[in-house]
Amino acid sequence: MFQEENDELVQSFLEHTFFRGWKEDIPNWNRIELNLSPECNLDCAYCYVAKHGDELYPPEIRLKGEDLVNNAKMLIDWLAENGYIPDFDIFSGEPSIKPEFYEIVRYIIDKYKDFERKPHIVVPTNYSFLLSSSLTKKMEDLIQYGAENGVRVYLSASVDGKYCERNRPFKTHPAVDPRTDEFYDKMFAFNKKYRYGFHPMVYADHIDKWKLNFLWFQENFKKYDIPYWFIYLLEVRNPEWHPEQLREFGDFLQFLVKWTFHNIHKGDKYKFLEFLFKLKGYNILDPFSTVGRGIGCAIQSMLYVRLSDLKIVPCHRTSYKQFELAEFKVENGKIVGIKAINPELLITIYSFDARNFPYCEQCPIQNLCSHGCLGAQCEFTGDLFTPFPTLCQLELTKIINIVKALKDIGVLDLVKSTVTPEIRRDIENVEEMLKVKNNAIPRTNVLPNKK
Amino acid sequence: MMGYEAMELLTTGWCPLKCSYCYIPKTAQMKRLHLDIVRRIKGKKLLEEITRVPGGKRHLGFWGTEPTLTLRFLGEQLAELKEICPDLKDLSFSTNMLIDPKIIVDFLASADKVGIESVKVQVSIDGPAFITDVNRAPGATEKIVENLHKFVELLNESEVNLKVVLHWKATLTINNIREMNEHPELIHEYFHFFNKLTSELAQKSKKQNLEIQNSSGPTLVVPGKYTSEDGRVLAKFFKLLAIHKYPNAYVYRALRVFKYRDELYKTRMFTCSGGDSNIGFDGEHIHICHRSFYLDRDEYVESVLEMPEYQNWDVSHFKRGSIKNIQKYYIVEPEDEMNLARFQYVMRGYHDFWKMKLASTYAMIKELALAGQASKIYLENDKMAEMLALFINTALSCPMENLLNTGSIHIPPISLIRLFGNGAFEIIIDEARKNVSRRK
Repeated sequence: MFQEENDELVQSFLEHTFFRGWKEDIPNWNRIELNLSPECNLDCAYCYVAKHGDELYPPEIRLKGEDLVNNAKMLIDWLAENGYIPDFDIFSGEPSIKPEFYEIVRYIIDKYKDFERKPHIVVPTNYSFLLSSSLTKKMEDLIQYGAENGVRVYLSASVDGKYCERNRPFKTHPAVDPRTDEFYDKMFAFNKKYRYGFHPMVYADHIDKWKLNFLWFQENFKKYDIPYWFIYLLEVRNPEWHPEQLREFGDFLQFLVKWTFHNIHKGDKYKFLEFLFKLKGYNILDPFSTVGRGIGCAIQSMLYVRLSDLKIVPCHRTSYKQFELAEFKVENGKIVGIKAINPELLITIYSFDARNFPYCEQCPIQNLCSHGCLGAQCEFTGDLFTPFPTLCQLELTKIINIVKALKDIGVLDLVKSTVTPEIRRDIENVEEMLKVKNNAIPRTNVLPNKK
Repeated sequence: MMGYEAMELLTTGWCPLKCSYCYIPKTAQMKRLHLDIVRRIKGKKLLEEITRVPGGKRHLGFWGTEPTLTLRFLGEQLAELKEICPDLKDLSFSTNMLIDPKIIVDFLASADKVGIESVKVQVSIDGPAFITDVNRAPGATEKIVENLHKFVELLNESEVNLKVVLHWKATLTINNIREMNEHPELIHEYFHFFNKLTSELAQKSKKQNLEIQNSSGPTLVVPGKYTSEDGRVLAKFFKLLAIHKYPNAYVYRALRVFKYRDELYKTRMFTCSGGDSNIGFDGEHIHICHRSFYLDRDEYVESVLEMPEYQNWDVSHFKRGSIKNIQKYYIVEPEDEMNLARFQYVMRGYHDFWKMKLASTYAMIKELALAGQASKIYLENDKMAEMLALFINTALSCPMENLLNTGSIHIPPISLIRLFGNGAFEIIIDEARKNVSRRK
């Protein structure tokens, strides 16, 4: 009876959230992620899968080939039969190297081609398929097939850029990087052709190269006639940032603001504001907008399904055994319902507001902060909701430097007049911090020199 | 490094009983564990180990299974213990009182000699035979009562002068409650039993220093796996208690929030002390509290999973990966300063902040009401939903059970909300209001 009530509760919750969102295309409840596998051809320095992949996607449950595709088909059939039209994210270590990926995406396209409203399919990929002409063709055929049937397949380039790619070596040949200028030329040409964006990660290692790296992106955007704002920068919110790297990160953010203001907008404050709020300021420069959910990341707007065992998990970085939320019930090769595993966590995950996290609750920049990645928080503190101190330093560095740069270019007051009162209050808190910092007696004057 | 004022020590690993609601699955491995513990205590290792934990240690509690099994050895080492912990004032333990009470009286005499100020003895007795004998063991009630009388007689004859507090811990299962709902005369029998026992013992006692507390207000097996129907059963029971003006432990717990409402900004005043001023210590590792003792022993966890009759206990946690998570993050070595600092930082997050746990509980209350699994009042009256969330996270605060059941110290089990959210809390609030309104 206890289990039955839990199942009913989860069903009731999903009915008025995701199920409704998928039917009525309600923003923030309209996506589903199918996580194929943790297998990847790269060995990124900051990657959680490299460190925790066996716990997040245990080897003993991993399906391949037909078995994996069948699970995907069961799920897609169930979605379509119920009239659910979510936007799909196809996630994996690297999906393009898995033959199942192509089959599953084709199945989604086939399933929804006759629907009045069609879903989108988003695929984050490291673009290593461009190193193989056959895989490139396979990918282009897939995109084309989607387009012919009204289903847009979006690729998002998980590529850190020429000067930071050292953080993302190939597993098989770490010393020799095949991503030559020719590879990057192909990548920019590909994204120009399909109007796809880039989402490099701003990481602690090689942070000193990021100004150069950013300019390299911009140079290529110009060369391939890609809009300058087609880049989505996201800081890696892992615990390993040390003070020197934080300083470099802050410098980079100030550079981003000032370079864009002077070189792109030629000092036009209103054009810059438009970039900040409408074009989302490369993502990283826009802590001022609200997202209508409790945290900026997609954890609350996407139902994450680990395809091998059809378990619903909070997200791909928190799919540890103890956090499994629910699972699809299968009978005779068909999905017949949903079984609750952890209804408490399920309700909490989709309803929390990160400003209520312990410690964040009383933080002076709680409305500006991107807040922690729940997976990183859990890896470091053992609790999904407890931010770790270096994350707070990282986010404070980010906010202080953005506010300072906006003040320097004379845009801060305009920003303050545009944002919500809570965000304005936080900006004013940061201004106070900057005043205190500027008036502080330098440590070297009050402390004896250390040898 | 933050120090601890109180410590729950693991001093036993085996219990002769198999109580129906015990949270510790019993396996053959426990005997081995128990022997290890006994060896450690006899070899005075425990004394050495205690010094590893930072803090003043003013209060020590003996935990595990049945603490009287090793009380004799502990009594022999109290002088050294007091030397190691000069601030030590109080000791406490909970017993099933099925052993020879002389063991306890001898221990009290030893404690008195070394200058311990008080000892609290909690007796696990659930009520008359129709409850205790069913929950614990056939014939248990008669034996416990007999031993309690013997205990008071022995204490009268002794020269023990320290303060001794004797009180009852009555735990009811939902089946016990159902039975009393169906036969309300049993409720009278229940309270009559405790009143009689307390007054007989008080009359027998010649000791000024013995305080017998009639803590008969029943407590529940929590968190359990309660349904909304169980919640309605509890509501009926609370209603009967209210009609007959019998004490309800949960009304008192709720009243604490009313009484100290001006202090609510001090979250830690209202949370359980586990991982705050108090910790569990098993001789090797620091735990949030006694609840995770044994869970760092792989051989024990394995033995639970291999139990053929494991259905008798709730072992769902053992299978959900929660144990691994607890082993990795919530059971720490005292010397591992970085890890201990992390543990304390995370636990402060529980004891110093409200919003995460209240918001999470509030969301669950609303969802349960929407799904027809909690009273409609929680949909209509947001304040009531807030009050219930506050109640769940104060009166029933348990970061360790939260962790075991939901994977986070901040999220309480939904079972508790079903239990109290189907009428019971409404009665609690009504009763508490009556008390508050009498305050000047």
